Amino acid sequence: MQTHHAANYANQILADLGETARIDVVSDAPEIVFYRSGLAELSQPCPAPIAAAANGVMLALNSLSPDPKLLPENGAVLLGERARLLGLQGQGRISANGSCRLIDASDGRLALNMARDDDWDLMSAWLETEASDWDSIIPVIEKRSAIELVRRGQEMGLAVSLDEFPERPAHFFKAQSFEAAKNNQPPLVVDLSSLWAGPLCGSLLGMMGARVVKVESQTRPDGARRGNIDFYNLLNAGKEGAVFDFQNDVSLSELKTLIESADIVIEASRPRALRQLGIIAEDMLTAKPGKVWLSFTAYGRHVDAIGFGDDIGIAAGLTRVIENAYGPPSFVGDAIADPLSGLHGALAVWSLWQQGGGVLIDLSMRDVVRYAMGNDFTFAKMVKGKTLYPMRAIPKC
Amino acid sequence: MGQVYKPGTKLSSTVCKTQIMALRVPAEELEITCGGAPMQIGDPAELGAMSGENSGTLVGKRYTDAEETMEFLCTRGGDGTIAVEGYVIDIKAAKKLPSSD
Repeated sequence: MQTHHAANYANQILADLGETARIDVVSDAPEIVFYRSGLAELSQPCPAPIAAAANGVMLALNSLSPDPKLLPENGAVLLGERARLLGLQGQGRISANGSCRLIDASDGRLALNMARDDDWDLMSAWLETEASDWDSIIPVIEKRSAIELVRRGQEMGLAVSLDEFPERPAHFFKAQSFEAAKNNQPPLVVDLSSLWAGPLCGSLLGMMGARVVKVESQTRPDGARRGNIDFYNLLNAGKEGAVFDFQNDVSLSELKTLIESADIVIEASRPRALRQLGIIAEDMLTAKPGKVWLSFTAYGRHVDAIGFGDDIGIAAGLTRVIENAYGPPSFVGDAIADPLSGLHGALAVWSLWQQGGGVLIDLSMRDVVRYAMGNDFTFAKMVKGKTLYPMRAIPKC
Repeated sequence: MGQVYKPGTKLSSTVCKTQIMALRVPAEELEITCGGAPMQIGDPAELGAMSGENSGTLVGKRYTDAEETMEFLCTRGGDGTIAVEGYVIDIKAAKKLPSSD
């Protein structure tokens, strides 16, 4: 069955960016797109059409691209890419990558993502009792208040979120305006991010024609380097690299000079982390008219909490949708907020840059997921007999 | 006069806005000060005068002693310097990034 879902979504986000709606194509129905992306290996078909939305973002990017051939064939393939490379399977209440769990507390459910080994040291302080592994923390959480534990855990810097169903935001990003300028192409992108969302965004901007410099800390390089190398190359091939020592004043001032010269900055840090280094987004935007600054955060720049792709997906309401449709709660996709946010971020940056820039894009990854989910959930049918979208070719780094 | 603290306990400075949470502490009596004055459980009604070092604390940073026998998380930044048993404790390096999220 063919639908207009992806095209409608493309036009909706283009309109949200002040662009003229222009896309009119029919494409696969949302449940077929979900299946073909590879996500059906990880959970029941999601009644929220997130994979079709990803295709919509790619249609929108295509419409702005000087050379669409350079872009991935569709957006949905990006959602399932890592899971397919790693051969991940759905594990219900455990995330596909194994680091995040859905746990029932006394008054609700929370998602706790222990992607960083160091966070195990925080468990005893978080729960105020001896706890060091999943078997010891789960019984404690079951007796406690999810709301209270999430509040306290976020204050401590843990990736913990409440399983809830927020209202769909009116826009997929918030913008703060600065002075615009006539922009010369191609732009210089300085990408301070790591892992998945930010690097994917940077690589898509590269395919749109930007020059992309990937910045890493000497003492704290991109953790994805220690993961699957093919996946790392998919996200980072073709970028220039620059390494700085954030503890060294000379090196730090060189980094500031690079960020000042950038037309587009991508970062996924807590605002206070960069502020503590003396890197102030608002000042940089004021100093260089036309600049675009994309700030990925879990819940928006005003919320001092971190998150990773799976726990943010729960906070956006994906598990509620699954639960309502099928009963047992589960994760949806693989770190789903990451690829969805990377795609939406790239579109927002490119569109606003072309319109003259001068904007701080406050991209809440939860808002992106919730926005992409829409409000029309149809109980998706199981799809059989379709082929998966072809994987992208792995570039050499 | 020291006190034995449990992981998860929050301590407030009595001379500035600093608040810390004990993450890892040895099971022995400790005197924890900020800006020269003992820290206390719960915020003080009013702030006293700074009598010690005031290099400041940064919210979100972890603080540890030279031997890393203890660790505190700064949950609210302020102007004072934290010391345990008279020794200043410093910012610990940032957490390693995960290989996947």
